[in-house]
Amino acid sequence: MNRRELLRLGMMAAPALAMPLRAASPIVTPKKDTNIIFIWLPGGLPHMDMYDMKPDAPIEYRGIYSPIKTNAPDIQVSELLPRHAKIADKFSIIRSMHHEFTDHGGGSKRFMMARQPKIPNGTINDSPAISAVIKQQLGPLSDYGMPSVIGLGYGSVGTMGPAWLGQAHAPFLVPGNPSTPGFKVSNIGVDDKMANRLVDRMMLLEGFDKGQGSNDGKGTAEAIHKFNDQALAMLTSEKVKDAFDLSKEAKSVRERYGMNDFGQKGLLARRLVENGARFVNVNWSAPASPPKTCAGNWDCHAVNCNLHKDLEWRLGPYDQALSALIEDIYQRGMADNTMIVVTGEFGHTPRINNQSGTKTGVLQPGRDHWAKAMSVLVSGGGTRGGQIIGATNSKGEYPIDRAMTPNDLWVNMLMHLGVDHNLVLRDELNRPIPVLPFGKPIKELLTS
Amino acid sequence: MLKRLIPALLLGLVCAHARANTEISIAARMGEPQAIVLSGKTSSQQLVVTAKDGTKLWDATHKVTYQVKPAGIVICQPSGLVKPIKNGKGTITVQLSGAAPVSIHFEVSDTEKESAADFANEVIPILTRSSCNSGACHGKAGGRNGFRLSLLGYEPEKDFRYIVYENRGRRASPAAPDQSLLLQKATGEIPHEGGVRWEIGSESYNAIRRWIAQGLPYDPESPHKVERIELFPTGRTYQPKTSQQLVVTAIFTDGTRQDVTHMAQYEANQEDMAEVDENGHVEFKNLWGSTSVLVRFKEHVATFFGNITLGEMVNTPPAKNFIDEQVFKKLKLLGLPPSAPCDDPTFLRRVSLDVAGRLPTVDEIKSFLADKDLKKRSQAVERLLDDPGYAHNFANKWTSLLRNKRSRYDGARVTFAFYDWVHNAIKQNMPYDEFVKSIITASGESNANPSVLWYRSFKNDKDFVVEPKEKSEDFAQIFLGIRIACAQCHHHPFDQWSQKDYSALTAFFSGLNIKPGASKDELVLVRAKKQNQFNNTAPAALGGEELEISKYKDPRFSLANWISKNDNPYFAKSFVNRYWKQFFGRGLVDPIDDMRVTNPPSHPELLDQLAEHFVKNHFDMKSVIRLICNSQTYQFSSTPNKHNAGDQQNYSRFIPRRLPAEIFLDSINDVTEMHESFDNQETGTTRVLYLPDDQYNTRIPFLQTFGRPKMDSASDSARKTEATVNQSLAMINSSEILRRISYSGGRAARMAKSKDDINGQIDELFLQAFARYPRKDEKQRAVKYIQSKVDLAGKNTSLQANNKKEGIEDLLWALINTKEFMFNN
Repeated sequence: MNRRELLRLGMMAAPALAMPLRAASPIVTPKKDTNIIFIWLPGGLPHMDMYDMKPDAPIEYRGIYSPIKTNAPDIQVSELLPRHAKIADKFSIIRSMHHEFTDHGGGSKRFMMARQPKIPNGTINDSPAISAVIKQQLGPLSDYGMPSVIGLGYGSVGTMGPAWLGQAHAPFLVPGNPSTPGFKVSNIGVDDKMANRLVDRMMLLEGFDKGQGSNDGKGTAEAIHKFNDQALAMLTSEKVKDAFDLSKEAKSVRERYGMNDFGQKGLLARRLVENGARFVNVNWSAPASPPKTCAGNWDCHAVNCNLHKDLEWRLGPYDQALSALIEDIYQRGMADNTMIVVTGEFGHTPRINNQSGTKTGVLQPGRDHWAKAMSVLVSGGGTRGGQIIGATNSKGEYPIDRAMTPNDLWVNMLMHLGVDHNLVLRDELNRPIPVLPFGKPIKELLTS
Repeated sequence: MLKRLIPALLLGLVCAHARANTEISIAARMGEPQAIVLSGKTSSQQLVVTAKDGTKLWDATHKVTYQVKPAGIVICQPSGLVKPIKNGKGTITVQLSGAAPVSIHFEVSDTEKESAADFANEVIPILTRSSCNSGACHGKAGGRNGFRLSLLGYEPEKDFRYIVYENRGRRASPAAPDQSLLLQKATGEIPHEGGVRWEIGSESYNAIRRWIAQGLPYDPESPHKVERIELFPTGRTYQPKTSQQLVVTAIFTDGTRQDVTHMAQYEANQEDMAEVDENGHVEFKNLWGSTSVLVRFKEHVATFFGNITLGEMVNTPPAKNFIDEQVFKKLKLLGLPPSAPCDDPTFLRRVSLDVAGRLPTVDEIKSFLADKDLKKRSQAVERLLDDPGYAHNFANKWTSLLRNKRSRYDGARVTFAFYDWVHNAIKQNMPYDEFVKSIITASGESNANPSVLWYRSFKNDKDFVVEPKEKSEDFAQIFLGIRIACAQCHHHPFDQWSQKDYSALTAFFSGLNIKPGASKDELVLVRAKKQNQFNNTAPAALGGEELEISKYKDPRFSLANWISKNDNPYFAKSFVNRYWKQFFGRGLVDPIDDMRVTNPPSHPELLDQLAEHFVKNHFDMKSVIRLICNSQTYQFSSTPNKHNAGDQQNYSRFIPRRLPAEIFLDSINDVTEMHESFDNQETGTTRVLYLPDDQYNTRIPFLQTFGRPKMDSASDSARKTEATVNQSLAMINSSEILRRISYSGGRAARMAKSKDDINGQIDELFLQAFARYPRKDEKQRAVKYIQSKVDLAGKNTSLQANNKKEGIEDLLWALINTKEFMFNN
């Protein structure tokens, strides 16, 4: 017996089942084919060196890089992002995002939970990440077994925790670097030997699992059957297996994204959303193992790295991978359905701080944590590109126009997925908890 | 004043005997057939008509015809709602075919005058009923789209300010009432995200318009305040698919009464059993059991409680103790026949899992099955209460609720010490009141008094702090079964608790501080401040008087004295209810930590008797378990009969429950014979159930996947029991499971190598997994499967051995994936 027969036995997955809680607001029709690639830059991107350049600020603020013009009249980006410059009509930059948590854990929790964390550090959510709510609303798997919410690599994965919503709503985790040769995803595409053994086992189980009571009157036994079928579909689906298999892509495409962690994760994310994933959190920590002068993620304190060496090392692959991804979704006609969001947990201090590096032992420039202003890039999802939204003051320290919080961005993301942004869930005390306690759609990004 | 009913004289029950054995009675409130007195043109009165066939009562309010004489003074709708037309007197006669008619007098006055508008008692209830001030709309903290209201209208003074003074007075304009945003938004004249809440010209519209037109009157000091509400009827027994009209009367501090049936809010607690509409009409569905309806008017709540009967003949086995007496009484009332008593293997597996948190061993089962003693079941209960598993099983339960979560930085001793303390208390069967007192009054160094560790809350992921609010909320939830947290910010929406009650309880825990001790494994709890107030409120137990305690005295000792008083309404009940759930899967009050007047117990007398038993037996925790496990109720089979498959709350059968994560993994380990080895565990244990804290939740993802709590919540529901696709993946394909099945030192390897008869080995495997021998077909299937694998190897003996092991692995996989294994049946 082979996989095909196994599936013919009636063990084909049923459509993914969302378990709705009581919603107080009008029903929003979930969309089926929209999705989000949520690129997380752990440590936070230094806005002053990338998307919010201040050429007129004092040198200790503006740094050594200059802004360059792009193909969008309103947008200028750092000279380290030349490929961005060619496609700026396809993305917008929000410059006025801000919040209050300057610890990595606290900032990540603040962003992902869309509310204030109970404790200002640590990465364990006290309230569900919005990604967990998305999974709960859209169901754990697509019709043919593609996980709906996926975390590629670690990082914000810690703060994707479902808290009281339950572990069922944690993301499907894909650790590792897909550009390495041995990259393999557990629970996807089991080999033929194992598949055959699974068939034997399932048939044996069927023989023993007959009518032994276990009827709890709440449908738990039926739910186990259903989830077993879904799990088998996921384990054995050729389509899911292929989606995770980057060797199916032409070499030229893989190279366009870059044969490194950023590039291949970006490409993998595109393959996953093409095949039914709805929210893919892509963790871009470092394109490769960092040299001495560079940091393992975007946390560009002087103690961690030489800010300039670090940016010159990481922004090349970043520029290549992100521009490839944006171009790709536009070229493939996916730009209406796929929204790309690039953010970290916060920005970095507008003023450069010179300190001795832990690894280098010499005085070097760096920027520290800064949550009062941060930049976020948004592309696709039906949004109009080429816009700068909001502004910071002359030194990039705080918003002076269109101040907004991560919650506002979540409103747009939920709207894009067809999840009610006014949704109210019940916590462990059965209290009604609004998923977004506050937040308004970012009008500039709404589909025109 | 809208809808006012002036107090009237009691007239005695008006009944009329009918020719065909049906009697009807009519009531305007509390079952008293007083004259209907309507004052003012906006007043109204809901009637309730009860019919009696022999001994059976049923609600005829919507079935009878109402005849008004003389006509033109009042109108009586077919639903029994009486409204005035003009001043006068008369009679309403109620007719039902087959019954003699009955009458009630009415008197109407003051219809020529316009009633004075009442902001607090009329406008606010309309906003509440229309959900304007719900948590999802303008009642949300900070409001919605710029307009905020106090949650559920608990703070009329604030609401007055929000409506009248904010937004430049555009919300309510006495000069042009119809132009008021409050009306235009709610009617949809101006686009409103919350949709149309009431139509122009509706009663709600008119009432609010009247208030605006009269110049926005509001006197926060008005003596005309609602003191309490009365509900009629409060409940009785019903047939499926029948209904009941309710009447709700508000009694004011000035003694006046008013029918508020059409102003109150209703919420069915079990929507699969009953529905209720906004006029207080309850419709029962085709499902029997107990069901309740929450009634709320302003901050006052009442509960309607109905038993819906199936009406079958019920024969019960002899009652073994008062649990059975009460449960059987209810089954008879409902006419719901119970399942048969369970067999011995089922009992032993069930009680071993529930008491000792483990499967029975093969030897235990064999000797139990061979034992001819009639008392062998209760002897088994005694043995299990002395089993090491018992203390760990319950220590696991308590330490999880008491948040024995390890921080990233503290030494393991902190959580270990607390676990050990709890474990020892359970093992020595410390009286429960003493157990709780030791926790709440703890002080000093954690090495000497490990129970102080309950007071540590996380300030960040490394430092601890005493958080008085968390402590009072946890105290109420864990030890009283009350969810007080809502009352921190507003009056509890479904209970009697106010913000003052919250502050008074929290005051007991104020002034404490926890700080590092001599070593990193030690914390010290001190009363840092001579303070026993919280938010300027003196300490008071829930529902108790404010206590005058010198600030030099630790108020926690007063709280400790309060809990174990014989007449404490919550403490003992909450415990027996919690333990009841451990054995039956649901509480007599469910959820167990949500005991409130609007969430009544399914078996009120049983809950009382269990609590009484517990107090009388000096809070002996084991005695409650003994009582439950020896009851016939606990020993019913889970196999449903023709009638009771849908029973969730009457205990007519045992409801199978999934094994908790820890016990499930231990059971898999017992079947596969691969045991755990934990690093850094003082106990040197191989059992997952004995783990003292949450440290292994991340190291063994299986535990989280199957719902082990993170040990940072006092909620019973932090343990998740629902099925998920991740669990299926874990059971089908995870390395955690595959590793166990194929472990070279495990059962598959041992059985494959053994020269013993395969039949005997399969018997042993089934005894371990299911506490029973395999049926003939099961044994054949197992033997045949293994043999077919061996046959595939042909004459190659080493391949034969390998295939045999693989065949047994497949068999193990299949057995641990059966529902029979995953559930306690």
